[in-house]
Amino acid sequence: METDRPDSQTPNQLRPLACSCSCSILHRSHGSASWAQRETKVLAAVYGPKAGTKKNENPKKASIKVIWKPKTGQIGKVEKEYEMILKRTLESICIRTIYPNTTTLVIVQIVHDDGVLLPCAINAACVALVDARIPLKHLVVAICCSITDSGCIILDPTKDQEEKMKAFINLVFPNTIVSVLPEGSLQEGSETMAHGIMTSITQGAMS
Amino acid sequence: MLIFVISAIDFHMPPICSPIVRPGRPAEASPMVSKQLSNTISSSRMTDLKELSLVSGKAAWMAYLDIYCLDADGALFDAALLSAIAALSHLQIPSIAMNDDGKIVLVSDEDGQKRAQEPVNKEKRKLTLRSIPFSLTCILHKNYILADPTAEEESIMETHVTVVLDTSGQLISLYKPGGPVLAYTSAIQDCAALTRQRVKELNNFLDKANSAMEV
Repeated sequence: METDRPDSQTPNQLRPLACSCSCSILHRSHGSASWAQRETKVLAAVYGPKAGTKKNENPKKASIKVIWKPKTGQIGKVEKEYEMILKRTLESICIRTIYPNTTTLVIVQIVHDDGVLLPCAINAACVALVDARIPLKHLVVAICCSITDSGCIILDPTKDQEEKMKAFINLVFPNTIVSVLPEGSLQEGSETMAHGIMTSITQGAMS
Repeated sequence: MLIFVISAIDFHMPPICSPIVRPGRPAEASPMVSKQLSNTISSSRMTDLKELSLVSGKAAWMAYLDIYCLDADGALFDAALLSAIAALSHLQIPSIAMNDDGKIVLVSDEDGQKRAQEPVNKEKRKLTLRSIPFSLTCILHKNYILADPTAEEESIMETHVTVVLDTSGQLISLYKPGGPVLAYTSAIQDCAALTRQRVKELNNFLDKANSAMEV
């Protein structure tokens, strides 16, 4: 099906990405990354691993603390939920047994929001962890798809397009290293590991 | 209009419900369930918001939905969503009228004194719920799926998947906040099948409860 988009992109086309990660962005952090998908821009910083864990945390493993900073104003329920989703997603990709009794702090600062905010933040946090040399099992790739009333799937919508759509879904997939692993180890049953869903958040009804 | 319903949904976890919750500071799971509830209720569109309109452009009903957790033993969102739907299906909208000043007043049963007022709602009525969403939370572990976990099971396992379907079969929400186990197509289909079975059971349960309450 043909669907016209106001920004003249095809339905399965990502918006232009701009990703930069080096210590020249934030000098005091151990790892930092700036991730932009056209207008949406997120800045992520990683500090740690620092010694010690808070209570209610397991000292046998490294713990991750995520702070989500909106562009303006205080943290509400939406930001709290994003914080928790980001924390659980990052906990899944880190090898937490290498640095026990440590805490890694991940701070995500929203620079501009033009839709697809959570996938942008997940991508930025993942790049920042790589820049900080935190040991990871694999990387993650986050996208957002929206569904029109006629059932057409559009990848990477803007905020205006998001509000007009019937439903949209944020998905996070693992992205494994293939060069050093033996053949067949990426398979789980009959499916490749990259086909598994790590995180899924939906909005709106779909069939 | 939609903003009213969303902003008025709140999920409270008082310290009585769990040893983890301390008085004063809010529990960690509370905003998560609140946001998920708002998302689910707005996604399902189970209420026609025009029913809440009184005078077009002037007055409208605002629904406050407060859910209190008394005993937290796992699958909080499932219990919260079911209680929210039961409360909304039991909601009664009172009859009101607009007086000469344009203000909204309640209509009492004394017809003699307030006959001059123009009634807007002529009698008490209930909300019409269209397709009702129901949810099921599962835990994924290797090749196993554990449905409706307790708090102890939830604390041990880290991968939770919540599937929300409505009575017409549409997928309202597929919620998986991270976790080490990846959700493949077969696992998601199994969770959806379990949820579909659960939707039928809960729908029957809700119908019976509402019938018993109205008698």
